[in-house]
Amino acid sequence: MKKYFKYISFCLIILLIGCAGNKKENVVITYNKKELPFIPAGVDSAIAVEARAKTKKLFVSFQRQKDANVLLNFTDAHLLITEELYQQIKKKKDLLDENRNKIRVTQEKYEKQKTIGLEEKKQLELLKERTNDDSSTVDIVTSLVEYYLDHSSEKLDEAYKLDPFNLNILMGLARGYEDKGLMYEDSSSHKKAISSLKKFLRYNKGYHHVYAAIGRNYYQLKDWQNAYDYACQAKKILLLTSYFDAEQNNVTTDTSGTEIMLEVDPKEYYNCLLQKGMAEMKVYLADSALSSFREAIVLSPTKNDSDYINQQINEYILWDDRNIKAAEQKFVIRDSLISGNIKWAKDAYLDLIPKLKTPKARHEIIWRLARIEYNYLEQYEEAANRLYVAISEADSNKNTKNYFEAPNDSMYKKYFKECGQMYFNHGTKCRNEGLFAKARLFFARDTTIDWKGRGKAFLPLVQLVEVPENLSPKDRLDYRNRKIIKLLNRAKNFIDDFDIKELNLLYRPLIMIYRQKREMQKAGKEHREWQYYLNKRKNAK
Amino acid sequence: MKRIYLIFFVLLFILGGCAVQKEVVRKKPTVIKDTPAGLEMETVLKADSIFSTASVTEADEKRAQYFFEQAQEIANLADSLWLIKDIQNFTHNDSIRTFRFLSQAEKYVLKNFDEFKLIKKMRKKAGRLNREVITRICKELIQQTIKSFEQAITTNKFEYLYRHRFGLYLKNVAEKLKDNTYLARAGRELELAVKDVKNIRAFFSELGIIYFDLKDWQNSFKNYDIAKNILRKTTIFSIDEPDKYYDRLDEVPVDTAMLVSYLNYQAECKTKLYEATPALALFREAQKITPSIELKQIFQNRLDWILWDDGNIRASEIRDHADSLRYLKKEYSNAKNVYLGLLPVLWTKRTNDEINWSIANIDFNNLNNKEAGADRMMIVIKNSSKDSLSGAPVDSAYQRYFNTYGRMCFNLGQSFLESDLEYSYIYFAQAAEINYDGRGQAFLQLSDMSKFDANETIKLCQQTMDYIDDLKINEKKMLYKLLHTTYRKLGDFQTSKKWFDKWKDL
Repeated sequence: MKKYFKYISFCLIILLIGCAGNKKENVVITYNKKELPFIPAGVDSAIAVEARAKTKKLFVSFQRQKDANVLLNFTDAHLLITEELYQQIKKKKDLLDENRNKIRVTQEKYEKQKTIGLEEKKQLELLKERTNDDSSTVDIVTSLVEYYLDHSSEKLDEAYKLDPFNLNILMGLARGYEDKGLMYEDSSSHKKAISSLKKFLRYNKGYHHVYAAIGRNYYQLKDWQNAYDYACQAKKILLLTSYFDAEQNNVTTDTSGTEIMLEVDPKEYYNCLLQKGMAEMKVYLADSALSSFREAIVLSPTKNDSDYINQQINEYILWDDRNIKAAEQKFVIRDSLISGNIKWAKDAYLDLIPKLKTPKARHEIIWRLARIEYNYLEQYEEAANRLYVAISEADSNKNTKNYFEAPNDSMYKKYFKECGQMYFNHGTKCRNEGLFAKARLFFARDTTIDWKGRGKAFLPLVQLVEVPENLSPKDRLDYRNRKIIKLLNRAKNFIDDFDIKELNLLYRPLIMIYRQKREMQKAGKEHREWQYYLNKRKNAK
Repeated sequence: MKRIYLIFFVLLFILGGCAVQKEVVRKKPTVIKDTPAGLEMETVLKADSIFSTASVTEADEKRAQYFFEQAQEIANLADSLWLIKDIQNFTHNDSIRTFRFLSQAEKYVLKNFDEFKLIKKMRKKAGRLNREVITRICKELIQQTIKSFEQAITTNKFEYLYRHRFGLYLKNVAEKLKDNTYLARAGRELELAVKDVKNIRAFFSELGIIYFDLKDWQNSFKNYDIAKNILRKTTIFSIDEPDKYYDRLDEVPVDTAMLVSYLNYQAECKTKLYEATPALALFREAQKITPSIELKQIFQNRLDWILWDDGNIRASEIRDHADSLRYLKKEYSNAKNVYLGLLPVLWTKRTNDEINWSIANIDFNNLNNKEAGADRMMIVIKNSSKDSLSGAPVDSAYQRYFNTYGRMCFNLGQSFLESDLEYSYIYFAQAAEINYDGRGQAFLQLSDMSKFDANETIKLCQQTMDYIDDLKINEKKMLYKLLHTTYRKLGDFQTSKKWFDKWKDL
């Protein structure tokens, strides 16, 4: 609630500032120019007429210029406030989306389970309440932003009408349209921005930021080729004109802290490189994009910026060895998945897999596909088997061991773990349903996967030991005991992963078998071991 | 006892009579001497009658000489005191001199006069200078001098030298006291002097100068003319080997300095009489004769002055008057009115243009009537002949009018920069059309105002480049920067860099 009030008061202040600025609106601009003769005294009439005609194409009256500048400065201030507010709303909106998603997922979960705990219900209600508060704050600020944007556009239009020769007004207009386009996700605003900027370019081709702005707007319009062309042009012009704008101390430091002397303004150059890199990614020029990004990283003003670029490089360019298209598809599928389009997502993943260049990317997609199948489509076996194939590919040394070892990569460790969990859970389910053969198979596979619960998979296998029918009862017993001892001894390799209950499940049958076999010494040893580990667990607690 | 009183009274009466007799100039009675032996009485009487109308007696001559010398002495004393009056830093020596002069003055001033008391007073405080008192004493001494001169002339009316000196002295007094009545009297005295003596050049020249000072141009001219003729005709008597020139008297080498002086005065008289042709002829003659370069230049200036409006001397005078109102008295409005009054009097277009230029300048610079000034100059420039290609004036003397008009338009352009850009641009455009010394600046301003249209800016900048040498450093910087930014606007970065470097190099 405190935050809510903070926002409301902030909005009120902004409104007040806005009102203060609006005072200007009431001022009617009139041009009661002193009546001067058409031809000034002391001037030849022919020269006067010709000069007057020329002035119509060069400038407007001093007063109009002044008024236009007042409006421009006024809207500049408005746009600054608007942009700041927009950044805040954006963050807030992202948070809101996240919360809404959380609420949706939680609700779906509870609907499925058809039960909900009291504490959980309380938390859900709190989240809903907070989301509603935030939502109304965002709505107020959004309407304020909308008002300022519309107002700024209006004023800039007015300013442009007053002084069409002031190119800064065109830039202001473009900025307003760009902001509008970004905030409303309105393509027509971006188009208008482009039109204003191109008009600017007709009169002035010497400034990179105009090209950059056009490129940005094309980027928003998803006209990648144009976005790329203008980004390249912006960089080119920046380098060509850096000589004129260079200040003496164009010094920056790279990530290692070494000072670098540049011929260009590092901040401007960084922006250009980033924009170019982004555009290059969109036109699938992976190498160029990579080089732009790498250059940009050196110049990135903050760690967040360099992290962002690294993220772009890793998620799009290097994810599947420059197969940017595939990376993009991955994100499209992921987004559709968030919006609940699960079946389409599955098909899309299936479609994507053969297009991938690297095993790593393929494994990730397989994992993602397996997760969909397992979590949403109840295709447990299919999912686990699909992931099992992937992890079997991942281990390059599988022939020398009797299990698949996860490469030293957090993602693979995750795949292995999830595959193990899938087999364990599904095996348990099959066992519960009396599908022992299947359960046995799943648990057995689980023991071949390098994951933290691998040892636990041996325990249910003990219960599912299959004894050949044709043996005598004694042999059958011996056979079973032998198998169990073998399994439990293998399980002992993972003794540190077991909790007390699992320790009991491990040692009780083992001691029982040794007792049956009258191997009391061994039984005693196992018993001591059991007690030792139990004490250890208890002490650890 | 009564008889004793009577005798005493008679004696007193006789003594009083003797005292009065002292002051009266006793005229000697003409005593007809005894007829000289061998002469008829009639002849003696006739000769005596002629002598009495053409000469004075020796005693009168001596008395006249006495008065004349006294007059000169007092005049010298008055002059010395007059000089003391003007001393700025009065020293001890000056006070001693003053004391001496005052002692001398005492005897020439009647004791019952106030001045006498003043002299006494001054002598007591000889160390101090009272200019006013000294002036009064000087004036009294001058009067005494005049009286002495008059006495000398009355006593010996046949001595022309006295009149001549008296005339010169009066002229001197007129100058000192700035009183033309003395000058007129000086003229009269000298006229009487030249009646008797017609061959002394100096008398006529002096008379000429007096008439000149009295602004009696005709008489002045006439007397200088006589002096000039005497000079020409009598030079032969004062040169070595005069017999060489007997058959060619016109070639006798005359005193050029004197002749030039006479010619100059004559020319000036003719100028004052608004007779341009004889004045020009006389000045030209003087210019031809004089060996002095300075004088030649002075005469040339006078010739130029007369010829300013093709011999319209009156116009030259009015112009001078207007100029003095404008430059010395700073009465601009009056000066403008005089100039305006002069316009219909002028004979030539050239002078008409010059006066219009002066009026325009006053309007523009002094009367805050800039538009009117520019308007007037526009007409002047429009009507002047120009070179069809460069637009420069055919008559180089007109260049200053072009410069003035150009600057006026440029200044008007600048004055409108913050109020009416259109007007400003038009004025700059007009200035750029004129072939004047600041044309480059006008083009530069136009270039700056045309920034929106890059092509137009470049065109104008190139025109500015034609006048690059006339631009100041700041203006050059502005031009190069403008070229740099304009080429940048056009996307021609290489050319832009060229101008950028030039800009930064300045």
